Amino acid sequence: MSATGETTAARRDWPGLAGAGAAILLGGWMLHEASSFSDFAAVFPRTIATVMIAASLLLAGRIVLAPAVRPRAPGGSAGRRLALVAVAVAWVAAMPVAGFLAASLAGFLATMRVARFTPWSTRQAAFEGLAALAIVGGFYLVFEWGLGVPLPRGWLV
Amino acid sequence: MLSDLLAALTPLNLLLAVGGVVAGTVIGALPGLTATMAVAVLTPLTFSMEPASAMIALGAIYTGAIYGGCYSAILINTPGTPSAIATTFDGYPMARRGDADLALTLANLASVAGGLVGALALFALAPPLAEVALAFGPVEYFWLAVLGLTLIASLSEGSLLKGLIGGCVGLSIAMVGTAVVGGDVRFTFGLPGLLGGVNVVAALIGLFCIPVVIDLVAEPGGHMEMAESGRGYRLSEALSEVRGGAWNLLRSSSIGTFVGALPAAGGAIAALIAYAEARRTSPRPETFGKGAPQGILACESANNATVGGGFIPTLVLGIPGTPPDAIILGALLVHGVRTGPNLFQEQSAIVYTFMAGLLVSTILMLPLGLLLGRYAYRSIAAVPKTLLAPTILLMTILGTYAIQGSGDDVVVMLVLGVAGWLLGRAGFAAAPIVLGVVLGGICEQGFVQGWLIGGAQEDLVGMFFGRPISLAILAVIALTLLYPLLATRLWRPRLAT
Repeated sequence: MSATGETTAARRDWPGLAGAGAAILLGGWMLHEASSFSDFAAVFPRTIATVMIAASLLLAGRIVLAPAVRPRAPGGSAGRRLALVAVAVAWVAAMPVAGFLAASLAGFLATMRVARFTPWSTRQAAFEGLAALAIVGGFYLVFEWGLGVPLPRGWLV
Repeated sequence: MLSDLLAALTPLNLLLAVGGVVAGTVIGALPGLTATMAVAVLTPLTFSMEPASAMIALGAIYTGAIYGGCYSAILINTPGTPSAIATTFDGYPMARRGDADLALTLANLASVAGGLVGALALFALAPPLAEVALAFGPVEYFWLAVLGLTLIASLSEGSLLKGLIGGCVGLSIAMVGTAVVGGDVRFTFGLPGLLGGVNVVAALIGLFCIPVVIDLVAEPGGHMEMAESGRGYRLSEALSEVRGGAWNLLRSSSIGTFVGALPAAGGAIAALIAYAEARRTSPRPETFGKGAPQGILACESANNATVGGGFIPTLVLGIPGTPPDAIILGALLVHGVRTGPNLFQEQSAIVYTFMAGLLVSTILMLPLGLLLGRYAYRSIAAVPKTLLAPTILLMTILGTYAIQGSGDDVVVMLVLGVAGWLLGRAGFAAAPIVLGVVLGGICEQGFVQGWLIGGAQEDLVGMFFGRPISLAILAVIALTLLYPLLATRLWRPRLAT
């Protein structure tokens, strides 16, 4: 242990190794796909895939042979992170069905809930709810009417 | 000529310049809404104006939009326009440590300085610069992209190999869709939505912004360090930084002007090259990427200098230097202004009034930008996280959708964002990936076209390594890559003794 109490022992960079493995797989797949391309279209993917595989092999070798300090583990709640991704996916999936306005209002409110760490008071809930309505509605008006961007329509406008 | 220049100062033209800068800045600050979109959306409003006034309005919108991209780059790590990609490298770290106000003021001063250099170059150097720009062939573009890719070395955050792999991943993303040469459909998984490729703006919004939102909701702390109250614009600190980096500013503005004059190169490449040069020549290169003020000066001066630079081939040759220039070129045709070699003889009054208007708009950006920047900073800093996180998510989804009205782009943005967060956890930084995405198209097109032409001439080596401009760019690439080694192994020990 160091004077600051932090662990100083080097640990293998398992996430880095996984990244290198994924890059090797991606490069291999690109080389396989490139075999069916014309010469013009294949030369660049082959070059990049080869460089990527070579760099990934070097990285994997370095990680295995000379253990490095593992990247810092993310702090905070993994559950909230997953919940945010789930909300974003649902938001995007709902847009063509429910329309931009309804999907975005629901997505916005759900994201607010994910980002909230303390319970709302009635006053806070009313204020932030109105703010959510104003922000979503404001952006909708700016894009749909101001900039002429045709946003998805559904149950609601 | 003097009367033409003074015509830019009529109350109407000044009002149009103010309105254009404000509108452009606000649109440019919204992720997904590029300078091209700002100009395109507002162009119809100019059809009823006099040609010179219309050009002033469009120039002001364009220059404001390029500048506005720095707000979201600094405050939420999402470049408002692709030109502001490099601004995130040091702007966001500065915001995180409580120096967002200083970063915004630096970006403003640099944008004004770069814009002025570009506009003055348009005045003084338009014809000779346009000729040099025309001498650029596919191979020169290829080497220019490679020069941009050398920046991977400085963006790798501790592991060059991981940066290199990240760059290759970015280049692979850029290859998705129909091949630029040959027309083959590549890496689309059979999805029609990917036939046109991965949109660069969607990719950079996903890779930069989604990881920020994912981490934002995970912890109860604030979004950024709050600055001490009453620090104002921190103009004296910023001016001191500008004085110390005057050469950096001039060099970056010159790079921006020149790259802007190259058709299809654009502000993102200019800013990346200027950033790489600033880092290479800095006495403290290790501070870049961690909140170095000189990094912001380099990229913001370069990207705004592309505005004046881009107008050089647009006005002199009728070849648009950047995508917004192409739209402005179309607007000029509507107004009966025919660009080309004879423009300066036949319609000099309009051209000189426009050039003066561009200078005025750039100068107006100083007070307007400072005011808007302060408002943006206060807003972002004061908004509670429960509103900030969903607002950023809303802006990313809406901004991505608005690029071409496609839900597929939004899906791609989300997928890349989540992948970017996972890769970030494994130590693969987002910046090299974005670099590959941005430079991939121009790099491949230049490489394959050069290969074809060289093959047809049976002189591949001469094609890639025998042309004067290519050799000059290669020399800069070699210097960029070898400079750290030379500096530590050869020069600094000598200096130490």
